[in-house]
Amino acid sequence: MTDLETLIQKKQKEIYNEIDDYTDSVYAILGFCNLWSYDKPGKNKPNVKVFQGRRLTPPTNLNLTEATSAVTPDLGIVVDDKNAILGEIKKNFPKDDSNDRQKEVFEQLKQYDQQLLGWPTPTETVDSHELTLLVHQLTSVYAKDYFSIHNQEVNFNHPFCIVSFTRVDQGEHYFLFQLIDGHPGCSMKINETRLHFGVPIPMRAILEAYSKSKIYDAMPPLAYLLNLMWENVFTPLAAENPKFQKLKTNSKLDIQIDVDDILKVLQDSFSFQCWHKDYPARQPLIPKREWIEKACQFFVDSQIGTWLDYNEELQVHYHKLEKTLDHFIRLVAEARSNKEYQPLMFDLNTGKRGNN
Amino acid sequence: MQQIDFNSFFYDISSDERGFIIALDAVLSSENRQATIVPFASNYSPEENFKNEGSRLIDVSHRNSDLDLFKMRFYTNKDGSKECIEGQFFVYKFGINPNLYLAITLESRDFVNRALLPFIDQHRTRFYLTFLNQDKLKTFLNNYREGCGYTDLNILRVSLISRYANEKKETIIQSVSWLGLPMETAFTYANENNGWFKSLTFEALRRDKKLAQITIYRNGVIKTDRDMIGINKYLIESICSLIRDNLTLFSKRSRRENELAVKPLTIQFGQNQFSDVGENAKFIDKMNELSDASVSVMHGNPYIFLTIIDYVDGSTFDIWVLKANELIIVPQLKSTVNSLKRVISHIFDRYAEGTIQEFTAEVLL
Repeated sequence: MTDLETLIQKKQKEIYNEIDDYTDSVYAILGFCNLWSYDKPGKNKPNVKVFQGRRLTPPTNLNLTEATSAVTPDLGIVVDDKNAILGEIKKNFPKDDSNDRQKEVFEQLKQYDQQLLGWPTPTETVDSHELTLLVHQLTSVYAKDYFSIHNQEVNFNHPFCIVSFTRVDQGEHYFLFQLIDGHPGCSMKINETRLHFGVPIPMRAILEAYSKSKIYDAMPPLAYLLNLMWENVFTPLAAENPKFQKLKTNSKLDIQIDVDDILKVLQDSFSFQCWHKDYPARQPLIPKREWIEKACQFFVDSQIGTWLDYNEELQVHYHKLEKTLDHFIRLVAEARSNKEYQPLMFDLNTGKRGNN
Repeated sequence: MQQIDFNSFFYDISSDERGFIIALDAVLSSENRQATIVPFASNYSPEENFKNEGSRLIDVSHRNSDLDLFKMRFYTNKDGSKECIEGQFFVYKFGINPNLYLAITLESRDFVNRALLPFIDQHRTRFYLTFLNQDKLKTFLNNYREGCGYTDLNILRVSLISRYANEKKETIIQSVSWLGLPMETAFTYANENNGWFKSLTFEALRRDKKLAQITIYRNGVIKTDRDMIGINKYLIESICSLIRDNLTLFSKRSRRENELAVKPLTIQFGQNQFSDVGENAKFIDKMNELSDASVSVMHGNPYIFLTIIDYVDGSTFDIWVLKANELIIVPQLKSTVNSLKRVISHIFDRYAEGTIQEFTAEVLL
């Protein structure tokens, strides 16, 4: 096996892990919110509102514009239009504080530790809110240690706690949420005892929600996004062509699609938009256009697509891929590896190995 | 071979269901013929379904309200020379359900196996045939035996699909066996061989007298040399009823047809099929054998999450295993009845049979 191939395979594994992390984060958002919103199968409690990626702003900020001062927490839960929880997911909490990586997480949370406007309530305010950091069980001890050591320095004004999550298998697959540190406020108290001992949420219970909300407001791994576009946007479009059924695996079918149409399908069908039907203001449209442009550009760079109108309309050279996800992971891994591998190649002019 | 005069047969029979079946029964009793019956559902009219395409030339010979007679000519090359296979078949609207039909022919096996059935298979996006799992097949045959007062159904020949597994690999073996066993014993034999019947040929016996020889296929196709009345009442009606139930279960599952809501189905295995994690790899291997499809493994261990594209019509599905005894199919934006059936019958054929049910979400405490 060549060095390049070894590198590509290493990258492929990394991408699989990134996809796993991303889907786990989506599941953590759904599962944690479910603790408050669940009423009965298919029905949420009417007094609970949940949101993802909502733009909240401090009431006034003389130094910063709204755009720069706005915060977009990973999840929000409002109970009775009065009490709320804001949560941030960090599946892989940094194991050390090199480059202030641990500090940055808490600094981000500190931005939520102020009065905020824009809640999905009639007055756009709540009486109180508290903060939660959700971390994977494997890295939760690092978060807990950091908070213990830097408690005074961080000094949250609002109640704050750390909740760990992990997948567990007991014949059925669950997401287990457990309170590991901090001081829950009145909103968290509803579930404090349960969280203290650990609450298992069956993945099955949030399966329907996941099937509709596969993308949150963090850019998904590129291969995951390419696969979602290929399966659910390009394939149904290609299937409208009478030649589709008999298309041979080595033949191509050109389809044209506007970037805005790709966005619309994914926003309507695979984001958390369905959560925000009754309070859509302040909810950014996810996926973002720039993500889709980047994905389309990747199709172009991989010669699977051609821009008919740059960043506006794409022609996709559709073909029947055997394993779409593997295919796109391989392409992304190759692209990443080629970039990294370049410095190791011989410079044809100097005959030297290296990047100078 | 002696020819059937389909034209006069067509004019002789009345178009109501009973008249048609009685006429067929009479032909089978008097002529040494075999009838092939293909129960199917379709959203298209017989005229739209059976039209000239490719190397098969089809004409409608005659038509009345519920019954059409078609002639099909199929040109093929055999040993370098052009060969024409020609035959006629009826398409009969079955019962009051608007989409249920029977295609019936008295033509030779050559015509059935090389012209008619391949045509239906090639246009499977238009034709919905069913699949009979072992439990259903056994129930239908028991009902037939008891309903017609037969003493036994003596199994003559089966095409059995068996799963043989060792620690690393699971192999599907198709075998043809001549059994000469009573029905109950034949099903026990299949069960012991971890298998299921792709087809089953049996004699209907009353005491020692053979009254009909019948073959029933997993996709609901029936061949018989007698007893159209009993077969119609206890087998065809049951198969059509199953088709109708499946149509109801598989229809309108796509998110586009449900204001983007999801409508999952489950396959219940009745046992902890996935209790061993090694089973995951076997299942994924089997799903990778699904023809004309993309199968992507989003997650393979300890739980399973696959995404599937059906390249026959562009339907897409998510497949999950989150409990040891259950598999969940989530139709995504596009999902057709035929595609859903194709995925489920692949799972039944290649992996394991189960019961299809509506998904009910977990009740949380």
